Amino acid sequence: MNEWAVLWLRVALLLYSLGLWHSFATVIEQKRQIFVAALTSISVGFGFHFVSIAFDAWSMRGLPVVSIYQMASLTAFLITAVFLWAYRRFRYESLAVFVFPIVFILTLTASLAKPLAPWIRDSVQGGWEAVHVALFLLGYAALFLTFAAGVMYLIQEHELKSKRPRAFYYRLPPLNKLDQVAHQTLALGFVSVTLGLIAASIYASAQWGASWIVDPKIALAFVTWIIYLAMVFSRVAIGWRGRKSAYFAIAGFCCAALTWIVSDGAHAFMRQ
Amino acid sequence: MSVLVLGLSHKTAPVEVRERLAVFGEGKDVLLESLVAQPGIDEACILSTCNRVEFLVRSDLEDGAEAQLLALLGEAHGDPMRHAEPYLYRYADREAVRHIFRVASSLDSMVVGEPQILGQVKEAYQSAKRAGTIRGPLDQLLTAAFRVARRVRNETGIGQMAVSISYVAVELARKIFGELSGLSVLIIGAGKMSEATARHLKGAGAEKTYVANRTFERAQELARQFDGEPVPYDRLLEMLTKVDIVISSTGAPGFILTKETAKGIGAARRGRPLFFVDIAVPRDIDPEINSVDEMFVYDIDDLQQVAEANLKQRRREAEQAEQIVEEEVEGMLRRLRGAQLGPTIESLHKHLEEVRLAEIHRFRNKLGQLTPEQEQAVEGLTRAMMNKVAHHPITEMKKMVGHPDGRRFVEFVRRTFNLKRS
Repeated sequence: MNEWAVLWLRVALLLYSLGLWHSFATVIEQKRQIFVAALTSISVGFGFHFVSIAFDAWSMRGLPVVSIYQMASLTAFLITAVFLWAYRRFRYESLAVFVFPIVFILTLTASLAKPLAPWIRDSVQGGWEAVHVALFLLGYAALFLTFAAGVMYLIQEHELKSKRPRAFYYRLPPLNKLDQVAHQTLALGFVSVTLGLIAASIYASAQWGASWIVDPKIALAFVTWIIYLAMVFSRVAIGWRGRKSAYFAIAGFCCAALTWIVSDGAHAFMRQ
Repeated sequence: MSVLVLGLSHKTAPVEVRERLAVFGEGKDVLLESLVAQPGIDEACILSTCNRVEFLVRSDLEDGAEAQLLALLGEAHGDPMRHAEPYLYRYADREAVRHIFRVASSLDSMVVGEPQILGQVKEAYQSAKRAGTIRGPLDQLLTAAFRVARRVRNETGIGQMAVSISYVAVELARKIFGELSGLSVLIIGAGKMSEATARHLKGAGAEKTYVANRTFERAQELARQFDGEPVPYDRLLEMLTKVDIVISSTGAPGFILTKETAKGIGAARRGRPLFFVDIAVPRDIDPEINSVDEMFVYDIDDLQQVAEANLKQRRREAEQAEQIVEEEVEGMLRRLRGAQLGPTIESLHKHLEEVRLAEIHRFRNKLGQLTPEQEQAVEGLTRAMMNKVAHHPITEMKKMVGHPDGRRFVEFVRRTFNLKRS
C-alpha cells in the first residue's frame, strides 16, 4: 500500500475510534449520548478514508484490491458508505452500535499494512501478546457469566410460566436481576474482546505479516467477536431482552467454546 | 426445680373449648398473682391467643405443681376447666423448654412460620414481668426463646414465602422484577382483593398506581382511595405498553384482553416484562397470554396454587428449624441446671464461712496476742480448710447435673450441711 494512503488511513482510523467509543458507551451505560459527535467524526473520517483509497488507486493506476489490507480498507469504506446513506435515509441510529466497531476493526487491519514503528518495536511485542491473551480470557469469562445468567433466566422463567414453583423458584434470583447480570457481563465481554482483538491484530501483524489473517483460530476468534457484536446489537438496537437474549447468550457461548476445542493453545501459524 | 407447661392449642382443642379458657387483661394479672401465691409455684406466665392458652410455671416441688395449677385453674374457671381437661397437654423440663421454643419460633402455629406469634409471646412475657411473676429462670428461658425465634427466622426461609393470595402476587412480582421501586401498577375494575394487592405492592415499593374503570367517575373515585391516577378506559391499550403490573378484576363477561392484542403490546414494550394478576371471575385476561414472551398471567387459582406450594416449602424449612430448636434446647437445659445449683453452692459457702468465723471467735482468747503474720496464718489456715471441705460436694453436685439422681443428691448435700432454703 502506498505510504500516503496509509497515513490518511491512520487519520481516518483515529476519527473512527470515536465511533467505537460510542458503541462501548451505549452498551455499558445503556444510553446514547455521544452519537452526534461519533457520527460527525465518522463522516469526517470517511472523507480521509476516501483520500487514502484515492492515493492508493492513483499510485497503483488501478483498483486497490490486490493485498488483503487493501481489501479490508475497501470493505470498511463501503460499509461506512452504506451506513451513512442508510442513516440519511432511515435515521436508524441503533445500527451504529453494530457498524462502528466493524468499520474500526477492518480499518485497523488495513492500516497494519505498514504498522507504526513504535507499536512493533521488539520491546513492546511481549506486552501486546500478554494484553491480547488477558483481554480474550476476560472476554471468555464474561461470556461464561452471560451464559450462566441466561441458563438461570430460562429456568426461572419456566418456573414462573409453569406456575408450579419448585426448588429453583425459591433459590434463583429474580428475572430482571438475571437479565441485568447478562447485560453487564455482555458489555464487559464485548469491550474486552474488541480491545483484545485490536491488541492481537497489532501483535500478529508485527510478528508474522499478512499470514495471520488466514489462521483458523483467528478466524474463529473473529467469529466469537461477531457473535458478541450480534448479541450487543440484538439487545441494544432491536431490544431483545430476557428469553431471546438468553438463548442468544447460550448459542454464543457454545460457539466460543468451539473456538477453544478446535484449536488448543497457540495458533496454527506459530507452529510453522 | 422444674419447668412445667400446661395448655391447649388449635391442635388439641376446638375453638369452643379454647375461647372459654382464654384469659385477658386484668383477669390475667389476677390469675398470675394467685398462681405465684401458691406454695411451690415460684414463677408463672400465661400465653393466651385465639389459637392457644398456655400456662408456664416454675416450681420447686417434685410433682405437686401440676396438681396445684389444675386446682387453681379449676377455681378460676369453674366448669369450663372440667370440659377442657381432656384436651390439655403437659410438658415438663426438656419437653417444656422445647415447646416454648417451638411456639415462639412459629413451628407450632396453624400457618407455620406466621410472624404474629412471636409478638404474642413477647406480650405474655411483658405482662408477666409487669405483674412481677417472672423473676428468675423463666426470664432466662423466655429471653432465650426470643433469641431462638430470631435465629430460626434468620437461618431458615420459614417466614419468607407468602401464603396469602395478595402477598403471593407481591412475591411473584419480586421474582419477576426484583426491586419493585419505580414500577407502576394499573388496576382495572375494583374489588377487595385488588385493593389489598395494590396496597401490598405499594408497600413493597411500587411507585405509581393508575386506575381504569368503565365509568371515568368511578375510576376517579377509586384513584382517590389508592392515591393513584385515574385513566380513561379507552386509553387502556396505551397504558398497557407503559405499566409493569396489571391487576384486573372487572365484571366483564369475557376476556378484555386477547392474545393477539397482547402480542402487539409486547412488541411495543421492547422486552420489558408485564405481569398480569387476574382476580376476576369470569377471567379478564386470556390465559394464553402467559405464553407470550416476557408476559406472565396469574389467575386466582394460579395464585392459590403458588400459596400452597409456598406452604409446603415452609414445612420443608420447618424441618431445618426443628434442628435449630433441638440444639438450643440442650444449651438451655444446661444453663437452667447450672442456675439451679447456684443458690445451693452459695449457701454452702456462706454456711462454712459462718462456722469458720464463729470458731475463730471462740478460740480468740486462748490464742492470746498474735503478731500480724500469725493473724494472717490463722486466717489462711482456716480458709483453706473450709475450701477443702466444700470442694468435693460442689464438684460432685456439678457432675451430677442432668443425672436422674442429681436433684436427690443436691437435697442430700443440703441436709448434710443443714442448709436452709433461700
